[in-house]
Amino acid sequence: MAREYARLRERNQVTLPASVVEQMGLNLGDIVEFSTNGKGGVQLHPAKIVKVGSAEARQEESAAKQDIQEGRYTLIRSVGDFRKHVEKLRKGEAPSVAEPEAEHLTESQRHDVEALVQTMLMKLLSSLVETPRGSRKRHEERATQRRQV
Amino acid sequence: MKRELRSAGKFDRKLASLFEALEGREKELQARLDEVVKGLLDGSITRAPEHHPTDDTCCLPLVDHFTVVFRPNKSVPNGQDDAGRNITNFASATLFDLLNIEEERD
Repeated sequence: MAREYARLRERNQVTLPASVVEQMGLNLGDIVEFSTNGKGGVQLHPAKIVKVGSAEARQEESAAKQDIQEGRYTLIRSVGDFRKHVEKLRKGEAPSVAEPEAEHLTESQRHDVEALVQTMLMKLLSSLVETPRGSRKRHEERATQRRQV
Repeated sequence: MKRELRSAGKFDRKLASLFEALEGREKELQARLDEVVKGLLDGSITRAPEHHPTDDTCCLPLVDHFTVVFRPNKSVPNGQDDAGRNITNFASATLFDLLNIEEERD
């Protein structure tokens, strides 16, 4: 793997090494995309707006769906949210923070979860109430056994 | 009805690229994006051309030949427009995934 180095300058500017530009097939005015892997690594790709219906576009849509499945999305509830989101994007800040999936439960799913939690709590409570009785019974049984001995 | 959008990481990067590509026309792009987002959230946009019939995606024009691809969580076919494109109705959708920005074919 060939390695090249570049120094970070003012306003986060770096010059791409000529060999990288050549290998990526970049030209003046082209846009590049940086994608982070969450572990400190960054990948650089040529970015372009793809043609509708092309195989590349389909691949990008699949990648976007995967982003959503894996929680790499930003939840937008208002135009204000969206404006803030775009502002972050344009500043190069990482915007994609997913909210807990529970936010997306339907009303019936939410009822199911509540019912399940209630049932579990009831079971827990009844087991707590039953424990002293159970232990008292065991204690009485042991006392009876001792008396018989 | 409460509606929400999920902006995929991939979509975010595409959008940032589009802002770069349309340097000097950022306000125009932002205004159109606001229209689309507002329309989906408040339910004033309920129909759009189908993008891919197999995965229930739709598309709406942004600026120039650029189009935003999104997926509503509920949709039904709704006939065709004057250009013969299949139209999808997503009036009952509550969640929209913003997936991609593409350029219309010549």
